Amino acid sequence: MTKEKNPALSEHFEKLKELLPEVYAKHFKEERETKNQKLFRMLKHSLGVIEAVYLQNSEGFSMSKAEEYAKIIDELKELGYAYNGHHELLNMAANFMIMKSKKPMEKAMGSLKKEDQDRQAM
Amino acid sequence: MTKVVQFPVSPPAKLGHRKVRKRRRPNLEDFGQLNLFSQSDDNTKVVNLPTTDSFFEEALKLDENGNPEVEKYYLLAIENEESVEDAYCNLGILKSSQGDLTKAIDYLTNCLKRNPRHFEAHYNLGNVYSDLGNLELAKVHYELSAEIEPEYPNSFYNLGLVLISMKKYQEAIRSINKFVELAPSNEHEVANELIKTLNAIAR
Repeated sequence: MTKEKNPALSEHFEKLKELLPEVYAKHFKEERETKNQKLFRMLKHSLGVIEAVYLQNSEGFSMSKAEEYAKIIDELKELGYAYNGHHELLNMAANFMIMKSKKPMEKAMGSLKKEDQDRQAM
Repeated sequence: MTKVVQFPVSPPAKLGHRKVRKRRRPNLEDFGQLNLFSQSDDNTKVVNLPTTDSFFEEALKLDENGNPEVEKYYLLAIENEESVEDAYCNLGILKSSQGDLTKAIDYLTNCLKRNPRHFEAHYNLGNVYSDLGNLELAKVHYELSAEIEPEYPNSFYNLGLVLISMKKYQEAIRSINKFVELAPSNEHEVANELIKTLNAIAR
């Protein structure tokens, strides 16, 4: 059985929705929050899988993967979610970030370098 | 009575542009000469001859230009006993840039097998080990390169970064201070900022 809408009442509620959007949007807001919570739970689960992979074989876990892991946690924090993350993995990522600013490799110049040195000595 | 006689007039030749026509190349041998300058066939290859006498120097030039032939020339230099240690060292850098860190370590250690005091090889090994996250080995190699070439500033800077990662802040400050002492002034700013931060952490 379907309820027929009373046109006068429906107009009244439409006006109320416009006047008090925060009250009438509550239902949708709650629904959205639940979805976000679900996504957060899924994300936590995925992060847990990454941590398990790391614990199973920490030597095979590359620095760049650790950096990506740390980025996800940082973004979560920025969005207002609390997730501490795995201490060792976060440490590894921090080290990787520090070492990224290192000075580049140095080429060996063979006899050219020696010639330069001789010229300087003269 | 006079008679008008029509004078024969030939229409003037049209003046204007004149097309250049392809002339047939004379066969010099028809005139009793030897044709020494005959054209080469279309399938003749243009070969770039090495511009230097040494494979190693040629490899360095190709390396500067990012030419993919560079690896071949470093290997030729090794085969021909030209700057062998340096060729191994630079092959290590090449492999590291290609992401093949295992092969990079192999080449760099080959360099050290020939010359255990090759400072660039120690320094570059420090970089490779720090990329792999092996801070202990990176530290050893940076320390060795600083010991062999104490005037080279970058060993001290990278050693400082490794020490920060190891949370040895006081040692890191000493190392980066040494870098500031040796490096040109345009590189001081970042290092000084780092020292300031480290001083705040170490307190």
